[in-house]
Amino acid sequence: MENEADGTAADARTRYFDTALGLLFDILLFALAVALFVSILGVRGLDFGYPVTMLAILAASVVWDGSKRLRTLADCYRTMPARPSMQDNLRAVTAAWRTSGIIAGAVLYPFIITPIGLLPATFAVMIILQLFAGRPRTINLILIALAVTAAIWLAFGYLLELPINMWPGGDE
Amino acid sequence: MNSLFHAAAAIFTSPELLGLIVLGTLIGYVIGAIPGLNAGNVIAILMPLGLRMDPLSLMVFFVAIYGVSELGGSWPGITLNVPGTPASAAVALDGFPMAQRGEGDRALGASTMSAFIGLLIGAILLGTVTESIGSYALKFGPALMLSITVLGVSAMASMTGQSYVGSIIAGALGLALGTVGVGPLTGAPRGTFGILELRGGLPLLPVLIGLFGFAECLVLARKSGGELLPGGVVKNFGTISRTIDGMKEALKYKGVLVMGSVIGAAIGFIPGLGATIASWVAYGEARRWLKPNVPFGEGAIEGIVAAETANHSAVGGALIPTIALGVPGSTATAIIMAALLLQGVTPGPAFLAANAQIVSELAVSIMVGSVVMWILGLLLSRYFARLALLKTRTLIPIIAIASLIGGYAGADSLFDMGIVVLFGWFGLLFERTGVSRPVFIIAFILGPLIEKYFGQSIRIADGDLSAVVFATPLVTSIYVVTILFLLLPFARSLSKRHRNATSVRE
Repeated sequence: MENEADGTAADARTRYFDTALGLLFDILLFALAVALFVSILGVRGLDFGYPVTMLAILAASVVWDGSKRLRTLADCYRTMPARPSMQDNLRAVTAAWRTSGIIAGAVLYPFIITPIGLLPATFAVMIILQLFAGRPRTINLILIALAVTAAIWLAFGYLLELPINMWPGGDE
Repeated sequence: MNSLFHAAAAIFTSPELLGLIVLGTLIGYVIGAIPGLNAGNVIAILMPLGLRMDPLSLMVFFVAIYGVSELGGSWPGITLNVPGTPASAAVALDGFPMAQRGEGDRALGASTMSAFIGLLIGAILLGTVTESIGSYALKFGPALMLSITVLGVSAMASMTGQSYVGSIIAGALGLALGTVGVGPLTGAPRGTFGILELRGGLPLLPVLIGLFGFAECLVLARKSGGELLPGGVVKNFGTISRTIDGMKEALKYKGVLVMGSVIGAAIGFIPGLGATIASWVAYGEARRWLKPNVPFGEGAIEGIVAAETANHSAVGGALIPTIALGVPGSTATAIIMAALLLQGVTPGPAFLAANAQIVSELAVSIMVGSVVMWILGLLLSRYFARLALLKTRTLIPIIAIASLIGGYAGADSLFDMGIVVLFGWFGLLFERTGVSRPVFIIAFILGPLIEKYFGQSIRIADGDLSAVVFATPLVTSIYVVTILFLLLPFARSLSKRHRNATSVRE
């Protein structure tokens, strides 16, 4: 963090966005610390004092980190190019698209397990996750999804006997 | 010694334990060879399976994965110059030049033999030292246990992570989130926001799986996007006899073997340092001792021997404080400790006193595992090394699904699956912003224990905090060491600035 002035302009842009993300994360953590503090108001004794001490350390370290990041942000802003290159933009958008897609697929999974059953849900989400993780050939896409679905059934349905619907409205 | 014989009898008469050792060894080889995955990730994902085992089987299975994954990581480092784990990078430094010269088999043999010796020495230390530390620690009061546990978190925070403030945030966040749930003294809910599922605290299993399983596939997706991992072509690998030659050659360097093992076990014992630092320190020491005569970095077998023995004896070293004191020495041992906690077993002096034989059984299982590792290494090393060429676009969805369903399986709860996704996203943010995941998880695991010891010691001291800190000279000394650990990164940063300023002036 100390040598922000070094490196190329493109590096400065990457650092700028990473630092901005770090700052947003600091704000999120500070908000979390405040929310946790508010939620425990009214608790008495050590049950209050111990978590409050931890939350105070968290808040202080987040403020410390945030102030460092603000300085870095200003430095990067001065050194980065006015307009990013097309390649930089494309790389950033692709990476964000991939991770967002994987998170979206993962969020969808618990919501569709109950209505359509574990195995169809696993197959569907595997297809979605593979599409976002890369661009496999269609035959590979289906074969891998089928293989993972079969492995999930074997491990969690057959061996561990999870109490969960395997098929839509089917038996557990 | 007698207990080791009893333990050996118990292990050899149990087909289940032997099967788990072989299975754990195979899994360890596979995950070690795949860059981007490590023992911590896979143990976290496999935890639902472990929760259905008894504590000994769980430890035997997970420790086999942990111990062998480091060797699995060295092989693609030697054959392709793509180390599978950070700790195996030091091995690749001399292993890959040997492979380029057509001596890859010898390098694999030397690496396998050194790993075998390292694991063996680590296991012997584990079997002999742990019980003594544990029985001594049984006399420790809550004030001393508190200071040791705080030291564990501080040491981890000051030694791990790219950014010091990131490690402090990780530690504080872990300790703060560890207090979520019903308070131990008043029974009042804390930080649950009215969510019933959080009354028992944030569930450990989905938090672990999210941070180390699901987050890993998000990190991989950001980095590579489905293309082949960087690497060359596996070449110059032929016969088992040349692998055996490499094994024999490694045995010639007895001094390096012993030095690597001692450094590895000692460094593994200190929370936060672990196998990566152990292998680099041992490599550096071997280089310092032997440099004028040995071409380090150009394919010197001594370099492989030093790094690999340290890398593996650190496994036994890291298990000693985990079992004897309940303070994990590395990320993987923290996750193994979490698995034990989920089974209702709290590692530490009391657990050790009640289950004295478990250490001997674990030590013997590591010895058996090292033999299995040696045999499989001899036969299969060149094939496992090719796993480094696995496409990440295939790996990512598999890790994601296994993490999600693993999160569900712990408590049969879709809410826990949501926690996996949330902490997976947190893990990605941690990675991008320099907040250390290992420090967070160790603080999160040890947080409730710290609160318990703190509550007990403050009651004994009638609410006087100074009486807790100055309870005995040993307690005070440990707090002094804790403060020194916390100041260490500042000292390092100051000395770095001083060096930079001096070089600019020159």
